[in-house]
Amino acid sequence: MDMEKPRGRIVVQLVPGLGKLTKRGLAGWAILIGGAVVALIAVMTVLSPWISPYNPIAINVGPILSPPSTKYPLGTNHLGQDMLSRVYSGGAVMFQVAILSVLVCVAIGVPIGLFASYTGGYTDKIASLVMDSIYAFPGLVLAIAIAAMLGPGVVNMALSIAVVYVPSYFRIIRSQVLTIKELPYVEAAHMMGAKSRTTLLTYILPNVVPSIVAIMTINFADAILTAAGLTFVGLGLPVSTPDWGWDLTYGRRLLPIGAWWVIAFPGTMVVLLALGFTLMGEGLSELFNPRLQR
Amino acid sequence: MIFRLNKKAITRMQGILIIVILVIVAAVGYYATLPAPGPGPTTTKEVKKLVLDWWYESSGHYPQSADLAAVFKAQMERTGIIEVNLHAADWPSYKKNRNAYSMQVYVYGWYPDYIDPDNYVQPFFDSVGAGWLGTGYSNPEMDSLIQQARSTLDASKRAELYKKIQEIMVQDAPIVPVYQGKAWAVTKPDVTGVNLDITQNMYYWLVTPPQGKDTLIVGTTDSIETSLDPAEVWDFFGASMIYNLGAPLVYIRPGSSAGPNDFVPALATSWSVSDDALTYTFELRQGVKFSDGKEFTSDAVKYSFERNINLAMPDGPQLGLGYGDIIAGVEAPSKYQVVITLKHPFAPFLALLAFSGSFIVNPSRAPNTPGQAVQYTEGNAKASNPNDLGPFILKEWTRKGGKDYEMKLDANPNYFGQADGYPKAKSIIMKFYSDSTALALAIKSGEVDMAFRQLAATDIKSMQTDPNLKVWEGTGAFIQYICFQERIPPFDDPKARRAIAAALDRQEIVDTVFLGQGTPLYSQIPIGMAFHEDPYKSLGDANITLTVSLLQELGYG
Amino acid sequence: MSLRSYIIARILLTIPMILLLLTFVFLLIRVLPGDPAMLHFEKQVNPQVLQEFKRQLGLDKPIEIQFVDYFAGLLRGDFGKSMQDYSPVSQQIFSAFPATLELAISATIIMILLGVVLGVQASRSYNSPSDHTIRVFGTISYAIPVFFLGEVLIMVFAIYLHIFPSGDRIYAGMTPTGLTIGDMNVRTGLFLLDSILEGNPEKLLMSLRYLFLPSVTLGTVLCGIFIRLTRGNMLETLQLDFVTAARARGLKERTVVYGYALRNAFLPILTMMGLQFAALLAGAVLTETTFSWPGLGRYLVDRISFRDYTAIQGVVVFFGLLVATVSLVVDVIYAYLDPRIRF
Repeated sequence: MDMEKPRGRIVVQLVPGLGKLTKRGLAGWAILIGGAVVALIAVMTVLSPWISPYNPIAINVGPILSPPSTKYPLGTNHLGQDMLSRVYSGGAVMFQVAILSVLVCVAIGVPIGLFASYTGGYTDKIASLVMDSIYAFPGLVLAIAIAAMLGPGVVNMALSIAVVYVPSYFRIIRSQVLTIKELPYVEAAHMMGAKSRTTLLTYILPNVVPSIVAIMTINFADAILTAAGLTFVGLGLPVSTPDWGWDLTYGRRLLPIGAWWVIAFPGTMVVLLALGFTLMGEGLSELFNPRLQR
Repeated sequence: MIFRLNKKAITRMQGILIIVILVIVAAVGYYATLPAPGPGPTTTKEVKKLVLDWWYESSGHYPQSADLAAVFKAQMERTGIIEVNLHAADWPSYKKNRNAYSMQVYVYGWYPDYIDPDNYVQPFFDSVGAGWLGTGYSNPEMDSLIQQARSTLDASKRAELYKKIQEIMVQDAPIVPVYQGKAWAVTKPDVTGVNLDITQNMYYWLVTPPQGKDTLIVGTTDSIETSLDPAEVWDFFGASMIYNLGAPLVYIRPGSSAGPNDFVPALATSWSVSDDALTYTFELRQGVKFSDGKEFTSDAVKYSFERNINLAMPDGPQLGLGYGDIIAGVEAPSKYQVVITLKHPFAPFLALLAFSGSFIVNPSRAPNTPGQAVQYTEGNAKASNPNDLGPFILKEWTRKGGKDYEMKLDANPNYFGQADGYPKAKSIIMKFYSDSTALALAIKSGEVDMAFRQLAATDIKSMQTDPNLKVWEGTGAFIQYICFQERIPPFDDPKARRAIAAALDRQEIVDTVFLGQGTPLYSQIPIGMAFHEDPYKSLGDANITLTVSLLQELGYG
Repeated sequence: MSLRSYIIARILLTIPMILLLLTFVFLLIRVLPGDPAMLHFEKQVNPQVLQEFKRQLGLDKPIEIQFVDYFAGLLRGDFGKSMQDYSPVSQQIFSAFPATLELAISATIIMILLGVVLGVQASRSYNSPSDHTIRVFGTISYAIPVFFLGEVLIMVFAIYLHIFPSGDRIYAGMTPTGLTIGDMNVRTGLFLLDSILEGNPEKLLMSLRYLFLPSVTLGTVLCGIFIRLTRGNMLETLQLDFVTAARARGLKERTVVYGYALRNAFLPILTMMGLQFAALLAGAVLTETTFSWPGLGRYLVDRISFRDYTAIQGVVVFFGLLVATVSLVVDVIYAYLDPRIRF
């Protein structure tokens, strides 16, 4: 068996990998399309300071509540803010919250998962119990409760979301580790005197990474939706920061008068972003755990 | 099995994904380190800014508070020397914070209790009378002027006094009036009798339901704040319910400007005032019954006033408006005669009698226990309501999850106005909505016959052109103002307060937030009220130079 | 293992989980930055006011005693007192719960209906455009924030088309009163049931009208998983011998599909329903806020803006208990139906 460090292989296989993806059928396409959508939105967000026609938080740059027109392609909201600029820059908060929460999740969930399941015994049992309790609980409600305690802000939102998703990582890693642990060659390495730490890092971790990556993308999607949900119930950021979730929440008030553009465009962006990540995640899961043999 | 699955494919996949994700991370990380986007006040040198904690109420008690706050923030930050951190609190927490003196800058509103400039001055600038507002303002000169102004009936003397009061108002600037709103109600086209006069009271007994119906369904975003007890109620909605469930000695003629000749009989059929204006004698209406069959007599009036004052509810109007300092005693010399003696002449006394705090309670349902008002009792509307003798009886009152859900009012067969055909509706159902959007949707879809408080300016504007709806507009006596907490620096210094006042652009606020449905206000005494002037005009609007220079004197900039 | 011992073992397993949850919620409120009373007021507070507030809510006692009180209270069904008006939280929770229950049940029905019907359709036309469309629909519906979908549906059906009401649960004064025999009144709080009990078809129809949009919103957003589950299950099952045999016997395709093959999928769907219950509750919170549906979700959201931590704690605990109970019931039913799964 190849004992070579897998890292070297990654770099070598990069470019031809893209082509291989398309050959993997629907799943491959899903990953590509999803990844492209996400990348596009990310680029748009990064470029927003330069491509925004107006300052997204300046009030009265245009007439109040004007429908999409040539001057204001996506219309203006009730404070006279330009919706196009707000759509361009609204994703920043989403990305920040999502990435932060994923980082925290991985930083906490992966080590605990690896350690607890590898060690087994009571550590494993207790960790599983705790994680299962959190996992079984309605995610948004827990996130709401935590965010209510911590208060508004990007970091607090990210933390509340992270707490809710750590168990998902834990479970996936645990199931993988339990399987790998029993493999003959791992036992062999053990008998040859490999320290637990070495085993974990060189054998188990690289094989767990694909699943982690799959979960990560789904985690991103969920984090975005949960962040939007938290903003909707009022636990987001204070007024004024450009944020799709905030426009969705505030635009609700404009429904009775038919000003659909205030929620339609930010809403579509949220859907697209979440969809992009979901597609990637589903494609990946399909590749790593193919369900259908047909 | 992971290992059997094409190992090459996995590492490639890993690679691609790691790259994609790294791109995203890098992108966002890069974005996060960029300076704030777009044009805006970019200060290149180190400027010591005044950082404010600006509070607003977020549960819909005032219309469009969040929008207002956003505009305030933008206007303050335009000066380049102020930074505003917005904080939101729902109405109960807002009041708690107010009582705890924890909000540095906060926005408040006011509806008149009685129509007299005194009601826009004493509760704000008098050391004792303004205790409820909690700003910590106290100026003995102001106190004496206010006391004099309310104790004389001489119009020219009062004019002089209020002129001086308004001068000091802007010098000290403990609070800053911003705008004066209008009153709005939206109904189905065939609903009549909606009266929006200067008193801002909604007399539901005048309103006729739509054709062919005898029940009027009213939607509102208000809710009962404390209870229905006149000894405790000092909020708009509680008061308006008391107006419809109870009765006073005198009414203000609906639609009038509440002048001295606009008082009409309610439970009192006639009255006279002594020459020194210290004694008021009322002849009471005879043959009026409480809902339990007992007859209404002068004892009930004496009991009501004494009990309401005796309860001394800390947040109640009797303490806040100073009933105890105005009324010396209430006597019932005969069965249908009541004599009220005052400690000093009080110009708006009759108006005060028409205010909810002076309504007559049913003695058997309103115990005289200090500190204990009649509270909401689940499932028992009667026990929750000490009011009687009014056009309606409270039939049902449900709260769900701690918030008002529905109220049902039935016509009171014992109401003294029955002979004249009041109330026009056989029953009223009040439906409570969580926010203005829900209410707007409800009136648009015909779920309710009438929507009153609070609709957003955008909704009202669009409803004015809707053929299926009738929009009623009335004189506004509602004002909003900015309060400064003088216990939190730098607002212990009037310079800082005047600085904020100068930075305001009231016209922009009225146009942006309220779409022109309001008027900029330059005095705590509203436009249309006697003795109104425009003292705050002296500070200017969007007067950034003045703001900056004042704040520089205090060490900012 | 017999069913009975499975049930006992399962209950025993649930208990530590519930205890853990309760402790976690308790600590959440008290250990996170600042104590709940201070957080309720935010920043400086008149110490007298604060003291009185704490005393009223029992927050001035040492933490161990608070913990014991908390648990003892829960056993009694006492969820503490609301920070807003000191009234019992349990009363408020129980008055708001039936609305959420009704929404959850009808959303589940729609979720299963959509999931199964579409999943079956997709499996029968494997790899065709309609299969792909359905799968895409399933993926997209999950990515839509539930309140966005709700707002869109309100725009279209309530505002433009005027077919459905835009919010709330029933028309003013039309609350179904349930069964009234003499002085006794049986009211479930579920308007559909109550209007049937009352024998009032008008109210029944009206309740349905109000219930429709919120349930469709919540059901659509969650149906994706069921589509995938049914489709996968059906694809496998439709290949099996007994299905071919049934077809060979000349049975109508519809009988084969729905009568035989679907039975197989029943069990996984049931389990998934149990697993999705938590997601259902979470989605209900947002749906209720969007449609002003007076249930527990909206209650929770209201309490957040009130910074009423005891009420938030109460609702979170209640949800946790609810989820634990439901998963217990689902597991037991599953074990009853499938003797293989009993440890």
